[in-house]
Amino acid sequence: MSSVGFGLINSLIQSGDRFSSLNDFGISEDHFIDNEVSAYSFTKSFILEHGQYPQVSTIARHIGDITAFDGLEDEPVSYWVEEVKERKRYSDIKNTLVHVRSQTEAGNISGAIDLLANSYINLRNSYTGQGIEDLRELEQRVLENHDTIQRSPDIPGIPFGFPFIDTLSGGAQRGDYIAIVGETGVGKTYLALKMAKTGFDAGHNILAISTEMPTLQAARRILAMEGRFSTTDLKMGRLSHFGRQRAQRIVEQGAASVEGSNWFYFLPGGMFSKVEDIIILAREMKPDLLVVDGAYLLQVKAASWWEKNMEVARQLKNLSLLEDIRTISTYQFLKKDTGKLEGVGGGFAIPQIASIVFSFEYERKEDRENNNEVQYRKLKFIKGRDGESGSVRVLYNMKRTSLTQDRVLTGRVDPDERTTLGDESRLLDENEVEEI
Amino acid sequence: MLVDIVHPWDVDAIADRWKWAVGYLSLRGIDPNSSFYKKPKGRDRLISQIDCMVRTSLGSRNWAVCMCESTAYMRTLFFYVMATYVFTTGERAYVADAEDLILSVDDHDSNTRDIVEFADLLMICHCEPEYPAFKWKRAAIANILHRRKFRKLSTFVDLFAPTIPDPLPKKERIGIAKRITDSFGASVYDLYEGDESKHLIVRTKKERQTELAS
Repeated sequence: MSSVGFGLINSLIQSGDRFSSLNDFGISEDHFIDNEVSAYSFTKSFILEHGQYPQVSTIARHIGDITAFDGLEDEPVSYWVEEVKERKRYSDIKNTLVHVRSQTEAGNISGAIDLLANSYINLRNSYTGQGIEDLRELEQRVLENHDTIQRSPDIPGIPFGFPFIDTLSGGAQRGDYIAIVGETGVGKTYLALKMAKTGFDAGHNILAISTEMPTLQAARRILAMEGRFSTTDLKMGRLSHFGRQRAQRIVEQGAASVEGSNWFYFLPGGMFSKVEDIIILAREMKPDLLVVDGAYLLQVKAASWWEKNMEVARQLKNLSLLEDIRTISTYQFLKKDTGKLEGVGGGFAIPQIASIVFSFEYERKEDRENNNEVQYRKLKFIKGRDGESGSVRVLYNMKRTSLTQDRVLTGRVDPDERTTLGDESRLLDENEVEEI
Repeated sequence: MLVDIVHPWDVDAIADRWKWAVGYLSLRGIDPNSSFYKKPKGRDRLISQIDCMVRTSLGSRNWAVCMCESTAYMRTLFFYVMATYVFTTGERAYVADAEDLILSVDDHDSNTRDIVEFADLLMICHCEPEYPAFKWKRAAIANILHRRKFRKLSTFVDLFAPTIPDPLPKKERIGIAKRITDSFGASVYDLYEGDESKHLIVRTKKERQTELAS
């Protein structure tokens, strides 16, 4: 009996398209059912052996169903691909619902939700084709990107807010998965929020989640950054008259922003504690930048702690690649290997998966213990996207809630590019001199 | 990241948003009807100097010694910078004179004392070291500067030099910078050295030539 799977194989043979184009359409053996699987496998092995398609009658004879290819319409390959995909979606939904029902009846509600979430992600993935691309076409796109960047005065990606790092890396690019790694209490959340805020100010849409703190606390930190007052003053109700006025102005200006301008949304950590939930929401909202503070606290089914971390990183990286979203996640350093790639909590997987790994460190060991509101931190590349390396000293001023680049510690940028940086980024051995 | 500089001539002085800044500047001698609210025509160099100084005050090297051949030019520039800084940041800036400093050190409860010590940007015009009252209060004024440095509050000082060669050799530049100790004592020199400070050489001649040409 003929079916859509046979229709697809038949149309491939009749059109002469290459067999591997099925991969381009995202079709695998899973999409075929019953006798179609044998037909698919036979065709594949026939091509491997003889270098060409078999006759449809040969396939029909081989699978023992001579009517398999009868009465099939002469439609293009793309038509049959959609038909096969649609059938797969239908059967997936049906299977999921059966399992969800049995889980619900057994009282396992969280298991049922997990099943629904996984099924949803798989279904959405089925709409995204990951095809083979021609190098010439890709090169053309590279050149077009170059021209767009050349015409615009800004950096190509979303800026991180540290001139040296931005110039060196070009900011966060589409599909980037960026890991910020630091010890407990070093200020990873502040750094992640600073990057989110910089991206927002540059006109991009931001989706942020902190698994460690409530949304109100994160918003307080951002308001303190904008108004340049201390988070403690804001928390304890100790703003000066002028500070209060300034805060009011910031809030009013934000509220008055025109419809259609860029947005910044916070997800409540407790509600979105599973990686699938975040992925679903990110797919729907399509932010330019996703910031996940405390990725190590996200829940995912895995046996051990490091497997869990790896799975979270893998899923977020997939999201970045498929949806062209930049993702920034924070991770912790293992105590003994602070500042090194091998010290990233969650094992080797995270540095391998991430496009860029930043290490955020105390400048001096004593800073861990002292409570000075103004300190220095070191932000350095421990893995660059294109082999970038370097580090900057960051003025970590909690009195003004500001993290600003103080000076470049290691690494250099092109001398011509240096002129585009703010005066903060220049490194001079002696007093800086400017003639105006 | 560069900040968007807001000049006095960029704003609508009667708008509610700028009410505080306009009122603040009015108390410091910049009336809303004054020429500071009008863009200085044909004086691009002056505008770039204003922008440079405001950016410096917002950067990490926010302690600057300004070397200039004209104290009057520096005073005008300081007032422009004050107005621009207040509109850009919404914070307090102040141009201080020898008298302001002398009077404020003794009057702890005065508004001037508060602003000299706590303003986010303080610009001190040239103070003649031989001014007798100034000589007596030198140590107390230096103490205020020390406290400002501890709080990382931007502070610019105008240092008058009769001639500033172009280019200015390093040795001579350091020589001029050292004159700050004549006014405020030896302990102040250290404040204007290191990673948080810079030397600004403010040229006036080219500006004058442009003016004459126009």
